[in-house]
Amino acid sequence: MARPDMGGPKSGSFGGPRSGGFGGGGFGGGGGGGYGRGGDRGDRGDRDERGDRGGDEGGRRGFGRRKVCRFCADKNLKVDYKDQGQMKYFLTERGKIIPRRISGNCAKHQREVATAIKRGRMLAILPYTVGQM
Amino acid sequence: MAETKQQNRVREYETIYLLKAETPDDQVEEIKERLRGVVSREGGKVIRFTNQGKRKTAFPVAKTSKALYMHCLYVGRPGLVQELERNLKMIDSVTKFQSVKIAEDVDFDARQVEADVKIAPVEDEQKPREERGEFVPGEEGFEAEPAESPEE
Repeated sequence: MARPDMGGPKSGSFGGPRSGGFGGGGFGGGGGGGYGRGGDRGDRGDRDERGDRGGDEGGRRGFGRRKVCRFCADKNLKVDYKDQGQMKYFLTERGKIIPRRISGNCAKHQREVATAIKRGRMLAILPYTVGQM
Repeated sequence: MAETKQQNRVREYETIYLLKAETPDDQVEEIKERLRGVVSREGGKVIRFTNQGKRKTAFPVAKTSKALYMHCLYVGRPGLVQELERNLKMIDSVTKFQSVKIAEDVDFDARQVEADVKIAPVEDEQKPREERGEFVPGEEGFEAEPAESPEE
């Protein structure tokens, strides 16, 4: 994608609108993002694509309860990369890190969790990936 | 006064190293003593070694899926970690290791040496996620909201 012959003649247009469009459309729309940022585009796009999404605001529908960060709720709880059971909670079955909007972690603790998972992976406590490649 | 205070300030580190599962107990002890020697030679001190037992690794390490996990907690100056890791690299039965800084500005004399511990290996739960009461991401990525509630 980042070939020199492509970037050469129209470097301006390549860097500007192209990368912006990729980020907005590809990630925001597909991943169900645009939750906090790019509200108008993300929200509306989501609703159009998926008909099952109700008329509720912010993509939350019928769940009501706001998730709280479990590390903020319980001050004694520490993020520990050695604790396999705790870290597994934040991984999908595929071994991916569960995003903040699902796990309900606050930004600080999600950062800590992500670092801890990466440390755990290094020590083979947690998987990099699960299943066939 | 300021100078003496400076001298006693050390950092606290922990190193986890993985040994081959078939390593005999006496060799495990031997490695432990060797590392203890390295730490004290570099002016640090080992607080404790923890033998976490043989555990199944998440992926094969050194062509086997079991490893003996050892945890070492120690205090010392920054150069100590390099020296310790250099030694770990030289030991053949060590397959993996990782050092993490836990705390800075620890009082060297305040940290007491503790006895070595041996804890039972963590059993891997084989139950599927749903039975363990964890959330299951739906088919279409992360759209599915968790039905469970985290501990209140």
